[in-house]
Amino acid sequence: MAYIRRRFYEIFQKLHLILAAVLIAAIYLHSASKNPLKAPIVYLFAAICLQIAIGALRFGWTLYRNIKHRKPLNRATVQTITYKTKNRDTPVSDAVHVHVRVSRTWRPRAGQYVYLSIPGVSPTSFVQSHPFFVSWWYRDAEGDVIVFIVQKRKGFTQDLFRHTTNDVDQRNEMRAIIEGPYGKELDLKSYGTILLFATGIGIAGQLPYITRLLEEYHNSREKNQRIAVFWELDSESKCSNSHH
Amino acid sequence: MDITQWYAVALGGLVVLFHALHLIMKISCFLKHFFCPQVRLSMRGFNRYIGFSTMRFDVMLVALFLVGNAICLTVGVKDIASLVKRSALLCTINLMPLALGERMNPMASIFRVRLSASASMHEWLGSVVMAEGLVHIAAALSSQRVNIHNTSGVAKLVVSHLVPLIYRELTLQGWRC
Repeated sequence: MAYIRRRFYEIFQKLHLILAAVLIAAIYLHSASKNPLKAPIVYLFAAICLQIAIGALRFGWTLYRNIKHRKPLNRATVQTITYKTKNRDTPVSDAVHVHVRVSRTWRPRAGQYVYLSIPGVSPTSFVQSHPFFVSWWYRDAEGDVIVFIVQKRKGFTQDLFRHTTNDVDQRNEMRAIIEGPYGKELDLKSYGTILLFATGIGIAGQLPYITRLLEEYHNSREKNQRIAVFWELDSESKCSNSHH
Repeated sequence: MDITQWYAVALGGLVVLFHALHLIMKISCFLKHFFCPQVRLSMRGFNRYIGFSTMRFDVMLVALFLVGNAICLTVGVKDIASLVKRSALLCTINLMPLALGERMNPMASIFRVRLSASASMHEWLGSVVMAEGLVHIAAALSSQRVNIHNTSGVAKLVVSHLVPLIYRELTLQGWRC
């Protein structure tokens, strides 16, 4: 079972949702009383209503985030990360930067993550959406861009690597659907010493905090806050994930 | 109101409490110092089973949820028939928050619940629903003889063998990928 789950995770996840719906239907058929205002049917009824309410909220939020009048849809480009040394530049083989030009801008904050779906990546990617931390953001002539660091695993992230490019060109852009942003920023202003820990790709979630803390440090008159980052890495070349 | 209805109300309160932690911390400094310390768990690897953290509030919440279920499953149960009914009812009540799925992101984001905590809550609810389902099956099977010569009897036998396997898979291997 664990092997099947790992091997066919996306199918397993969708099957899980279908089976949950089947379970609710089976309990309804199995229960002796069918009165929707009495137990146990009233609990099933409440479960269905909550499901619909949360689903509608998420759908509405996604529509708002992705569609804006007279603006193109979100566009994503997958860019190769390069590890630069004095002698040569080496492309990193197990991580990429995904730059998403957003149609409806928002003020990104540290600790925020979004569910990202890029339908053009593979034939099945239109039903997939995966959570990624916003690593950093910038603004150019065409609008706001948010950047994610994505590590190569199986499935969607592996397929992303087939679309890597070094050019920021409109021809390489793919439509992207964003759900979110979710997550709230931690208020670290009041702490004298801040220790940040990360392992490998986990630095993606810490980078906005480091940026924000350094900004505050430079803008503040009182320079008495200490920041220490502990980043565990397999190899030195992984450092290039965080270059921007 | 019977005990299961009280449990349903308490479960709703527990879910609200879980989501309102951030607000509680803001209101009271005392509660912050009471709920936030890390609990030292003597059992190795236990925090993996708690799921999200070993913060005192999280551990208390999980313990409260498990104790509440154990009390509701046992108090006032006189015979096998009432155990069958009680376990089925509890299973259905726990199905309410479970059906919301682990992607309750809009709510979790509003109330500042961590992504991992939201997923862990889903896992705990799933495990308890499976356990109560098992109790329901075991009690129902023990109270009647299974005739393996008809479809219904065979189906009951298959379910009673499959559910423990799935349960073991969920609890021992972990639901995370």
